Amino acid sequence: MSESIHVHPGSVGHDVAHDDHHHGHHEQSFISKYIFSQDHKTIGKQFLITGIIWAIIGGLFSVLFRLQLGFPGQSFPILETFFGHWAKGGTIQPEFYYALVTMHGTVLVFFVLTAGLSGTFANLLIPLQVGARDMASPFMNMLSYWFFFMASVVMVASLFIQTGPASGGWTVYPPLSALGQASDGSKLGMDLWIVAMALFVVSSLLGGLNYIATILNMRTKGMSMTRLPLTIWALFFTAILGVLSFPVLLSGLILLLFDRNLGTSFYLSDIVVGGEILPNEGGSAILFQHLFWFLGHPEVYIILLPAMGMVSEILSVNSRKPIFGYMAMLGSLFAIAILAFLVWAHHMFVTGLNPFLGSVFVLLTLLIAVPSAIKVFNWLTTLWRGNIRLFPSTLFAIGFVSLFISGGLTGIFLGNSTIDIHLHDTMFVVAHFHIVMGVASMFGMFAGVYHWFPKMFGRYLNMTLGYIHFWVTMIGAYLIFWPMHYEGLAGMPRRYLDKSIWKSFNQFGDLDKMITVVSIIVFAVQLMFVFNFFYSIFKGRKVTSTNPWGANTLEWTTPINPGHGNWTGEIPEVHRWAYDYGKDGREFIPQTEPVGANESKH
Amino acid sequence: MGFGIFYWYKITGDAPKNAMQVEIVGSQFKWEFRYPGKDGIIGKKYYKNISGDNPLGQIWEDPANHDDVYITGDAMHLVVNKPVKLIIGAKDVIHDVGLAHFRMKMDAVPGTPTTMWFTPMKTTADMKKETGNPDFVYEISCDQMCGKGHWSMRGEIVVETQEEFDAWMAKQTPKYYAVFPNENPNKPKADTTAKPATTGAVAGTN
Repeated sequence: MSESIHVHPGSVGHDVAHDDHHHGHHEQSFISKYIFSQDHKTIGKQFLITGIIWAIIGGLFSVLFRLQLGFPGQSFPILETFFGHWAKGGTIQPEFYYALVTMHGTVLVFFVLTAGLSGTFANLLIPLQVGARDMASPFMNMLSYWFFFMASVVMVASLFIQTGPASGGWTVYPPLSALGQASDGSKLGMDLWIVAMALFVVSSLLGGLNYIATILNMRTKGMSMTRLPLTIWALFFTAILGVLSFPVLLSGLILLLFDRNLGTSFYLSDIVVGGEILPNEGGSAILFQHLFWFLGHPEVYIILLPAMGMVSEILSVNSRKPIFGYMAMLGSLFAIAILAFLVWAHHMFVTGLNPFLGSVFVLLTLLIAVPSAIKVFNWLTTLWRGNIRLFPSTLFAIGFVSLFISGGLTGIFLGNSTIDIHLHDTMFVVAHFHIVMGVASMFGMFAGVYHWFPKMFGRYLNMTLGYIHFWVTMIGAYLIFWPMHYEGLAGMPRRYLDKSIWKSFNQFGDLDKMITVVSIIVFAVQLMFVFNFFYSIFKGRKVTSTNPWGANTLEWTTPINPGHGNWTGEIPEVHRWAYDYGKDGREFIPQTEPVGANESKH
Repeated sequence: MGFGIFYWYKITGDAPKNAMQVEIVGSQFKWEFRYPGKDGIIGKKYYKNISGDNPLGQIWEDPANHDDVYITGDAMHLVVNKPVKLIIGAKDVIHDVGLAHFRMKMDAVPGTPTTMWFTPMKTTADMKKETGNPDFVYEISCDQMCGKGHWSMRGEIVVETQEEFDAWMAKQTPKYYAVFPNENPNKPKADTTAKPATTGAVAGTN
């Protein structure tokens, strides 16, 4: 049943939770409403719930390999019960360990923090905040989710094959990922990984083009580009980054597929593996790294920018103050989006890269510190002397800023090629990117979920559980990742599952135990959040007003449970920017309110 | 930052002329070394020549290869205060020569040789004294994910005085003579017995 957008009133007022059966000709079946839905809000929820499931899987993987890192050699018989020969004798086998870290990275970076984060909030917020009834193409939007779903199915399938999933690290560098003889994970698992990622790229492109078209073409009357909330600007740049960089990853992966299955030599040269001399000559293994990181670096901003946008919005709303430096925020988003494409080789300082090229990438990389610092300054000045309401969403937003500062500072170390020689591929890098990209973006996502949950489901999340969730996660994140900097400074390489044979790296046993214990606690608290999430969908406190946070943006002018089409009557007109908080003695002035005659300028 | 760039060029620039050369080759999951011998030149190699008794694929027609010394299972020996230029290669997948104590690191890429140079300034014996740790040893770690044995791909470096190094080197026999015993001028005792004598001294490389 083709559900085009309802534009006439009367058909759109029905409540999501109570399907209205009286409009016979608009009756939606369960399938078209909740499964093959073309409503951007439902698609956003689909992305979110799929992302949550992936996050549980990816998080569980990290707990498993933390068990090995914290207690190497110790037997946990329960692991053998569940994983059989992968955990023979109750200890995690090396193949299993590397499969776990690889899938943890892949799942968290792509399936949770790309699809789960920007998929959720771009879908939910873009039409609602620009004042559109749906995306430019609801059908493409639906396809975007289902391609993501298919990618998920293939990736999950790869977990259950005999030779195991891809296990060459989430960056899948060839030749390791190209040669089945070199690693069990590079057999069928790697092909499935590539297929899943190809489907994922298609999903990302379908979504991204839609987001761009919607933001450019479907803004409501009066919503000029500079009146857009910063969430939308951030999602806009995110979509552009994705559209320009994901195809490069796809092309790199297709060449890899050719090398694996068709005997080409794009990445292979001069190889003897397991005594077998391969005929391939003339390829370059480094080529793949260029192609990969041309996506890989923008990817970290694809993950981070939506979080930045939501944090900007939430901090402004909850400190009851206008965002500090709107145009500077916008300019720095733009600068980050440009620089994101010009720094990829800083992941490759020790590959034998031309030193001159390396120094250029050092300069460009360190330039990112400028827009990043502007953003941090503006967040702090937005909070400064604000009338701050410490909701869980606010706390997570502040936590994001804290993590972004900590992780950003260690980025300056790594961006200096000279220091990177020592720190490259050590635990320092692991600490850096988990704090600045992983945990920070998760915090942005949590902030967004707590803030927009009332809009999504017409109910609130439980606040007490929210506070527990925040504090345990915040303290836990620093306890887990801060000590890893010390391990890295001592030179401990990444992806070492047991340090006991090493004289230089074996002094951190107790630290690793501590990290493992904390990570188990933090994981348990995330499960508590998941419980809160699903419990609150059905049993949470009901939202009673359309604008529970007293926010200015358009999504809060829709009914509490908006139907497909969002607004029951006309789409509201916009008369001002989104950040008139604490102005002329009023706490907030929604975007829909015309500018008064005597109103002061902001 | 200017500071950083200055040292970056210094570190990645050309090695000093008096630097000794050592080739280091990674494969799953071990390190192998080659010294240039008396002529100071590391001979040419081609990967298709790799076989059981020619582990690096040396081209025997190249005379520079005839005095090259192949080392496996032993530590890499270096001379204190003498710059060393490592010629880095890999046979199967990408590895990385990680020298945490020297703050140095460089990928080993199959098909694309890389180099890195540094000057060891303290002998292993000095370090044992200074750190108060009688077990101190310079280690070579693999810092690029290379497969299931990545975490155990360990090598060692011994930094010693020139005399100690010369004495150690005098005990080594070029690989050429192991393959072609008849070419060895001091043939009778050195041909097959030399090889086992140099292996097995250090555990943990496999």
